[in-house]
Amino acid sequence: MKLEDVIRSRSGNYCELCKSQQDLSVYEVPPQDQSNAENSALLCSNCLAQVEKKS
Amino acid sequence: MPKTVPCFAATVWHRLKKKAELDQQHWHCLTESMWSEVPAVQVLAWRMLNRLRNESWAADNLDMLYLTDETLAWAKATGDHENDGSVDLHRDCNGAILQNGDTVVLTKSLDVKGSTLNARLGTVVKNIRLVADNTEQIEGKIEGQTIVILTKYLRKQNEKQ
Repeated sequence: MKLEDVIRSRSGNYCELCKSQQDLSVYEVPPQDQSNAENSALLCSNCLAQVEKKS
Repeated sequence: MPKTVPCFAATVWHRLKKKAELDQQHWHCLTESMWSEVPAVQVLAWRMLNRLRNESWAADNLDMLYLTDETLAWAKATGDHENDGSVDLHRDCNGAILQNGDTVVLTKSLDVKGSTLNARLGTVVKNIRLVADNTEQIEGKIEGQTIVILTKYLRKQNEKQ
């Protein structure tokens, strides 16, 4: 299974921080050498923007 | 920021400082998600709670959130936890928020050192890139050359124009 599929099934397709279902994507939490299910999380665009300080 | 500043003035203050506050209400979600078994989620929760640590609810959660030594080292590795709840934003000369890919117009003729580049007032620069560690600067292409431009000398072009 692809990493994104693993993470989506683990989280039940909800943002792993706020449980939103809007605009989800896999975020590879820095710093990391190689992404895996342990060091990546499924985030909605709202959480992602604030985590990355873009809004 | 002084604690006595009323709400509307605080917004203005943050605009002036080119800052935006984290959405406090939104991040109460961490009270629940910090208990995730996924290390990546624990690290994100720990970093965000640290940014919000001036709020008592966030500080309380941070006290309860136990990370293994290994996970804690990872959480600290970016230095992100030393930031506060505000975010630095790039803004044009009018205070409008700039983003990667925006189109801007020069509000001043620029003298580009060591070049014959024609960067006159009114020059349109498409697809700008924000300079990550400096909110006073963006990068843009003029006549095929990428140069750094100060945000105070440009204005964001509305999408409809």
